Amino acid sequence: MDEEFRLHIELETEQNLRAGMDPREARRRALLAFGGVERHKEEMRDGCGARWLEDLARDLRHAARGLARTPGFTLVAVLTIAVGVGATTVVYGLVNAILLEPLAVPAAERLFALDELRWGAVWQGIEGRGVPYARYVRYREATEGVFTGLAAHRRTMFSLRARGETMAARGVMTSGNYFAVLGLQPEAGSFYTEDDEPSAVIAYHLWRDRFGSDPDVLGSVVHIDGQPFTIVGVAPRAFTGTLHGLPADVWVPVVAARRASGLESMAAWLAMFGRLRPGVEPRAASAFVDGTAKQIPPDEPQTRVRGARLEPLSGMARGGSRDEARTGLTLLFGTALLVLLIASANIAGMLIARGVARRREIGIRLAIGAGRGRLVRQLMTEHALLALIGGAGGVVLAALGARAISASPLLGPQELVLDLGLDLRVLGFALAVTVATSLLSGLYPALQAARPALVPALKDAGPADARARSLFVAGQLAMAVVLLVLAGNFVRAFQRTLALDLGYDPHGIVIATTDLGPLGYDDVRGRAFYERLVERVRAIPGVTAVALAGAPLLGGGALINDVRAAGGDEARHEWGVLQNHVDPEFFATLRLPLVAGRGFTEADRDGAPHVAIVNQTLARRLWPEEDPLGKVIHTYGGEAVVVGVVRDGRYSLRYGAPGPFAFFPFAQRYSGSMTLHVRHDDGTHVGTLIRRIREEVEALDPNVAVQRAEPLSAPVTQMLGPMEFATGLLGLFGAIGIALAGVGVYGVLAFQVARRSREFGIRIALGAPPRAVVRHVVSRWTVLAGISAAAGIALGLVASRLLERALHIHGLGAFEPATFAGVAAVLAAVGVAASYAPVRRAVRVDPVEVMRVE
Amino acid sequence: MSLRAQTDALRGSIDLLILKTLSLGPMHGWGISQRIQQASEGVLELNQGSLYPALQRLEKEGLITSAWGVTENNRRARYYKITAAGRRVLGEEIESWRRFAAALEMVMRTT
Repeated sequence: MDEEFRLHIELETEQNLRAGMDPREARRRALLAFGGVERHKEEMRDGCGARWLEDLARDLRHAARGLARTPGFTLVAVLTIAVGVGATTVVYGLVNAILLEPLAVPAAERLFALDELRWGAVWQGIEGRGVPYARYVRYREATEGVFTGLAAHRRTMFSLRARGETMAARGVMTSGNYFAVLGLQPEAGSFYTEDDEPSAVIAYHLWRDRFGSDPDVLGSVVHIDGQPFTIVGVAPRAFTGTLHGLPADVWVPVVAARRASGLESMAAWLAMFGRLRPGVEPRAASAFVDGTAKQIPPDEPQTRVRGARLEPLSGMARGGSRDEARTGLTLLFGTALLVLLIASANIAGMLIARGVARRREIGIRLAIGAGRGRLVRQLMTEHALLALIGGAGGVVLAALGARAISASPLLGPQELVLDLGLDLRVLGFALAVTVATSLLSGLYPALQAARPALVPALKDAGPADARARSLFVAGQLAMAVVLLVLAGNFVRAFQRTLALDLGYDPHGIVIATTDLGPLGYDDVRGRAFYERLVERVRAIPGVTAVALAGAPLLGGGALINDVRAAGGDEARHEWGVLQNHVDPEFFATLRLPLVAGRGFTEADRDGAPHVAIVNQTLARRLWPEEDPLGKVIHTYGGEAVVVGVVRDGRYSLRYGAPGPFAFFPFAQRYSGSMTLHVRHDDGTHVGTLIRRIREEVEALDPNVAVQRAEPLSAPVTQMLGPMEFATGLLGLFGAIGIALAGVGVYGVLAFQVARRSREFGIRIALGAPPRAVVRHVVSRWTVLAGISAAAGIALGLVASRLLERALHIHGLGAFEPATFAGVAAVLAAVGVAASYAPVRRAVRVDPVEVMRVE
Repeated sequence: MSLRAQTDALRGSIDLLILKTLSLGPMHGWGISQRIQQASEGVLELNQGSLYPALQRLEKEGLITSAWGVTENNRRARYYKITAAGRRVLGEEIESWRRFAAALEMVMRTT
């Protein structure tokens, strides 16, 4: 380009020389005739499209200069964006790790869980409804046309004895084709292939941590629930099972595992999943298995199969807990988005104000011919730069938040292990959020600022800006109030749960569960084992009382069965009553107060008349008008005479009021799995006590593992954990939201006062008292804030109601005057704090000075 | 005539002049402006600000091509050449220009 122009000028010069001009004049004329070299160049570059690049560079330079010139604005804006982006990104990280993360298997999208829908079945664990092994085999044969393979699995706890040590291992009983259907290759060794072979596959982390990655482990024999299994392989490092956050340690073939335990019938309740054959549509396959399910005759006469359906096999637990996790995470995500929206509104407000402050500058540029699109682009560039810096800050905040969450025990059960690293997807999300925020908050102000109304622009801010800002701030306030109401309701619900009267004293008690069932104990040997165990544990220093129960007291009972009053009519029939079987020490150890009759004694043994103790609710329901003592009930195991009534207590933390409950003597109802309830004195260290209990169990039988040992109150903590987490996060979001809204209110008021300072000055000069000025500044605001607050409270209440149902958190949606008073108080405080400075400025306007400004 | 249409007409006539000039043979930018000036006996003085962008545009539209060459006194120069498409367009443009000019002439005469 340069060369071409130079030539042109040279030739022109030569021509002028020939015409008789002197050299200097000749060149001058040539240059004059040619015109501005740079301008021509620019026009030509316009033509080849390089201009936008150059413009961008210039815009960026300009933007950076502009931002550096107003460090206060820049800092507040960047922080605001960082908080909004950080909040959403952190929650998205959770969603990503729990809901979105695909299974670490090839082509996971072709894997589908097969759920049989049946009437009369009990919900079986977290992997969904299951079917007995024999039924699984029929499904496997019948679905060969649609699946390359149909696998079955079930999580369980094993006693794993290897190299002289017994540990409780998180196990999975699987069909032989499990790994083949998943499409995995072993990290080392090989996978088993038969349903019935005494082989085991161990998880990579177990291999590394417990066996020091020793290759000789392959081929060695370990004892699982007392039976020998050969370790044949190590699962790939990335694969820890089919549930996120609940890793497995060991996999064994289901039939071999159940044969070892001698409990063939317990092989029931396997969950199934299959890999679709290439070309088979999920919908067609689902219809096919639905038909198949109805053709396979039911395994039990009382069961009715309604059909079956396919659902993508994700890493999420299925059933109720998944729905709760989903709702909970959706809630958190929604609130994080609210924070982001509030932050965006703030940024928009700040940008409008900035646009107004720069209106003169922009007006001048418009006047000398800058294109409106060009100006919008430049303002947007400045804003995008701001957003990118803020977004980067948000990612840093999110990383810090993710680390804090990973380290906190609040997320759920202790065994939950989540990888909250910021992967590409999370970073991509953060970028998308940043860009969206930037567009959302920047476009309107930029368009507004570059409005080509030159004359008013050169004079003053238009009323449209004030209106727009008012709307932004009103929306912000409403959203912040929604957050506050939710947070307040969660806090109240949380307090209520904390203050829960369990009906007994859960403190100072450690529980430890062992299961003799899979080890081949019969009831005689089992009772003897537990008798000796109780004796030994009672002898541990610091232990004051020991009792046995079929299930931890807070575990919701060992059994659910119908209870019917003997000789009673249909009305005296309670469906699905929780039941537990306990030894004579139980009520005293747990300090469960009996309100009538007696507790169990040594005399209530096998052979003696069967007895039961009911709680007040069950007594009232079965015999509303009569004395329950001496009445006979029918339930699991036959008839029993009611000998005592225990005070109502909470045996499950999930639902509202305590329901009917019945206790039976261990001596008259046996189960291999029992839970020790050990009361200790205050000076005893819980960890030490648990270790001593493990030692006593091992001394009695080295193959028995203690599956669960923790304070009795641990389930309370566990249930409260996610709730506390959600409450904490909501509280944090609420605080951020209201703080941002406060900044927004401050901004609008300050802006208004600055805009109308002349008017105020005149008013004061004319003798208006300060009160009138104050009223002028805040009156419209009070009304607007009131409307926003009312709308926010209504929305928050509706949301709480919906969440109460979805999350089973009792009383979440209750209308609590205290909460709303609190919200109103916070709102008022924020309003006063935000308006204090602007109002003071308005009152102190010096009329003389204001008049002089122009 | 609106401002926009006027600009279009001017731009069209610059294109027409350039194509016409190049139809006589390849030429560099300065040469084109000289030729036009001479041919119009000094009436049409082509502004350089429109000449080079116009050349660039015509090249982009495929009506002309360019290549570096050497002038009679051994200086490097960018020579522009009309393409087949350019000739075709030129034919059409001349035709429509003539119609336009004739129409103008007619209007002038009647009023």
